Amino acid sequence: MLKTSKFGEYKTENDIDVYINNTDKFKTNYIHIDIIRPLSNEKEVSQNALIPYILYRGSQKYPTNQSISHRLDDLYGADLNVSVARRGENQLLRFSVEVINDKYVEAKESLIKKAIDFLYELIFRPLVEKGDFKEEYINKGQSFLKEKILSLKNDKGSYVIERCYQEMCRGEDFSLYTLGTISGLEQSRQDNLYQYWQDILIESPIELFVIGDIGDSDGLYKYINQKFTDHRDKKLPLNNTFIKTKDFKLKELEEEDEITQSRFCAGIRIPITRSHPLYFALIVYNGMLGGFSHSKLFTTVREKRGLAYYINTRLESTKGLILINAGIDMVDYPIVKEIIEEKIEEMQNGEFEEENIEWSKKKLINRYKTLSDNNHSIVDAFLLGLINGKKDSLNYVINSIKQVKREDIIKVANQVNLTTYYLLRPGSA
Amino acid sequence: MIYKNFSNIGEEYYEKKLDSGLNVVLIPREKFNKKHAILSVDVGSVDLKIKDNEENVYEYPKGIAHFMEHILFENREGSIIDKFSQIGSSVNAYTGFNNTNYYFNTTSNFFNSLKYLFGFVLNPHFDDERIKHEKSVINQEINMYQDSPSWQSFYQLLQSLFYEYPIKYNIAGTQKSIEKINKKTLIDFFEKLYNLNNMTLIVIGAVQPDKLFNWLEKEKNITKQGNKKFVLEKIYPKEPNGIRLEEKDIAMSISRPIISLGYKENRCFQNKDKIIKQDLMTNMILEMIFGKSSDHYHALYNQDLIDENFSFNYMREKNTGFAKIYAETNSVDKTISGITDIINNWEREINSEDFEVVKHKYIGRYFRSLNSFETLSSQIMKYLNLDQNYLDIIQMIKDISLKEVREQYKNLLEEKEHVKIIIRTVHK
Repeated sequence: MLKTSKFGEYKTENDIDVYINNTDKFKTNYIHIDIIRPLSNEKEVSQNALIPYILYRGSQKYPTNQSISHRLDDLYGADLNVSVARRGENQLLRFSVEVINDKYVEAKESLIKKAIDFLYELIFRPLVEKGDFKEEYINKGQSFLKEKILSLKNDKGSYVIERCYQEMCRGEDFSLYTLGTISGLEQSRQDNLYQYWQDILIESPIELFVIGDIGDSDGLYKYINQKFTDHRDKKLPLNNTFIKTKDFKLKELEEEDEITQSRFCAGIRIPITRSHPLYFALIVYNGMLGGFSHSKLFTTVREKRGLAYYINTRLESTKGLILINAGIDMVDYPIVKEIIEEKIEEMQNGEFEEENIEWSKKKLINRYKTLSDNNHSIVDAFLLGLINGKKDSLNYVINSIKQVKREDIIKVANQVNLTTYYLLRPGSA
Repeated sequence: MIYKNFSNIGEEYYEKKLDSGLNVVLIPREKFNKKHAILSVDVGSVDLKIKDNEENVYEYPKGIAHFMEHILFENREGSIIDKFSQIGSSVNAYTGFNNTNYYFNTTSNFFNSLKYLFGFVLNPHFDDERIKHEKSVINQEINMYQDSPSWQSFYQLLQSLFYEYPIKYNIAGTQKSIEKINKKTLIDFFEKLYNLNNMTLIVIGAVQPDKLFNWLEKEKNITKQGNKKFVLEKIYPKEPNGIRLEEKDIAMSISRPIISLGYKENRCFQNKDKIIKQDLMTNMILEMIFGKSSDHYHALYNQDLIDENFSFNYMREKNTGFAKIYAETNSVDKTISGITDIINNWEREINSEDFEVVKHKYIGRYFRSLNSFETLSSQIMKYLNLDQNYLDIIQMIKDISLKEVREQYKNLLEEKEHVKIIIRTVHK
C-alpha cells in the first residue's frame, strides 16, 4: 500500500500561496518559504542573491546575528536555512526553519507558530537604518557572497557542471550563476536595496509550505493569513523559462587547473520539460542512459572499462538539459567521448534491452515513493511541479512511468542534441 | 530478543543475536514507504593487523577493507547492482575507519533485497581480471579526493596528529598500497574477518518483527555460516602521546586559504560507556565556546576572521579522539591566533545557563537526525559498538553534569598543543 499525504492548498488574502501537509510521520515540523524571481540579468541576480544574506544578520526584533542565534536556541535548537537556488530560468530565494514536533518537548507555546513568526520577522521586518538595510550588514553580506561566488572553484565537480551550463546556454539567462557574479555584486550598491526588497515582496510569487504534525490545518492557515498581511500586488509569473528548440551546434572547450584528476561534462539539450507529454519517457530515458548504476554509461565506462569512479547524468527538467559528467584520466578523454556518442546513438536506434527499461522504471518508482518519506524532498518536488504548472499526484506519476513505451523512449532519444563538451584538465591554472 | 519502547521519542526497538552469531536490530517505521537495511561488518580501514587464537599474526596492505567493499559488488552471477535494479532496489556501500557497510533501500521486495544482500556479501568471487579492473576504478577515486580541499585538510590533519595509529591513512589506501592486493590477500582477509559473529544487520522501515526474525532463522546464507568461529584480536600500534607535526602548509587551486586546527585526546577512557559520554561532552564544550550563539563566535565573526563556513567537531574513535576546528579566511595568522587565544583562556567561563541551552540544542539536533534512515542506522551502529543505544541518548544528555564537562575540558585542552594545517591558494 502506498503511504502518501497531500498538501492542503490555501491562498492568503494578500496572495501568498500556502501549502499545508499534515502528517505525523516526521519528528519535526518544517516551514519553508520560496520567493521566486526571473533569472534576468547579472545585476539583478546578484542583488537577489545578496538580500537573503543580509536579512539573516538582523531584523527589527532580533537586531544581531547573535540575537537570532539565541532565538533559535530558545526554539529547541531550531535549524534556520537561507539559500538561493535556480530552477529553470527562475531564481529562488529560500528561507526555512525546522523545529521539533511539539509533542516531544515540554513547550508552553506551539513551536511551529513561533517558527512562523520568526521567519516572518526575518523576511518582512528587516533592520532598517537611514532608509536602507543596515550598512554594516550590507557590507558583510557582500563580502560573504563574494567569497561564496569565488569558492565555486573549490569544488571541482560543481565547478565543471556550472561551467558546462554556462557554455551550453551562452546568451540565455540560464547561464547566469545562481549566486550572481562579482561584477553584478559591485553594481548592486547602486540601488537602495531595502526599497528593491520591498518591490520584490510586493510583486513576486511567494510560496509557503508547512509539513508536520499540525493538527488543525485550517487553523494554522488562519494564523498565517493573519500574520502575513503586508501589502502585495503580485505581477510576476511562477515560471520565466525559455526553451530552445533549434539551431544547435557542437561546441568543445578545455580549461586547465592545478588538479590531479580531469573532470569532464557533456551537455545535451532536449526540448522536453515537465509539462510535455513525453516528460515521463524523458525521465526513463535519462535513467537508462546514465541516471542509474545499471545504465548504459555507468556499466560501460565504470563496470566494463574501468575508466572512471563516477559517471552520471543529471536532468534539468524545467529548462530541458541533460548533463553527463565524470572524473577521468586525461588520456582516456577521447575514448570516453566516443562511448558517450555511441550510447546516445544506440538509444536513438532503439538498441537497448527491455531489462534496461523495466529496471529504470522500477527504480524511478522506488525513488518517487521514497521521496514522500523526506520532508525537504516533498517540498522540492512539489515546487518543481508548481513552477511547471503540473501538480501531479504521486499515484499519477507512478502510473505514468509504468505506461511509458519503448517507442516513446526512442522518440525522446531522437530529440536529443549533444551541444557541449567541456573538459577541466591538469595544468597551470 | 530485546524489546524496548522509547515512548518519549515515539520509537520501538528490537534486537536479537541469532545462533549464527549475527546481531540484528529492527526499528519499525510503519508510516514510511522506504525500507532500509544495512549490514555492517566490524572491520574498517584501521584494521590492518590481526592475531588469531594460535598467536599467528596477519598483516594487510592499507586500503584492503575498502578494496573488499568494491570487489564484492561483482560475483559469479555477474553485477550485484543489476540484481538489485531488477527488483527496483538501490544498493550501495561505504567503508569507514571502523566498519564496512553494505546497504539497500527499497519500497517493495524487501525480503528479496535482503536475500541478495546476504548473498553477495557472504559469497565472494575473487577473479584476477576483476581485481585489476577495480584497481583502476579505485585509483580514479583516490585522484578525485586529492582535488577536494576539505578532504585534504582533514587528511593532512590526521597525518599530523598521529604517529602510528592507522586512522592517519587514506581509507582507500594509496595507488602503491593497493598494488599489493591480490587474490590471496583478499581470500585470507575475507575468511578471517567476514564472519557472522563480526556483523550486525540493522533494519528500519515497515517490517514486522516476527516476519523478519522468522525469515532470518531460515535464510541458508546465514545459518550455514553459524559454526565458523574465529577468535580474533585486532592489533593496533601503540600511539605516543602528543602530536606528530605542529604545522603543515600546502597549496591548492582554491579561492582563499583554509585552516584547520587539531587537538589530540591524550586520555581516552577505555570503558565503553564513557566513550560516548566523552564524545557528547566534548562536542557540547566546543558548542559552548564556538557555537553560533557564543560571544567568541561573534567576536571572531565581527573582526572578519571567520564566516558561516566556520565549523568544529570532536571525533571520539576507538582508542583515540581529537577535536578539529575549520575556517576559511584571508587572514590566516590572525584567525589562528584568535581561535587559539580563546581556547587557552576559556575554562573559567563555563556557566550553567549556557550549558542548559546547549543541552536543548542537542535535543533539537537529535530529533532532526531521526528523520533520516541513513543517519539513524549509522548512529545506531556507532552506539551499538560501544554497548549503548542511540535511542536512549536524551537521558544521557540530561545526565551530564557541569562538573564532568569542566573536567573533560581540562583533559582535552590542557596541553594546549595543537596541529595547524594551512592550505593556501596557488599563486598565479
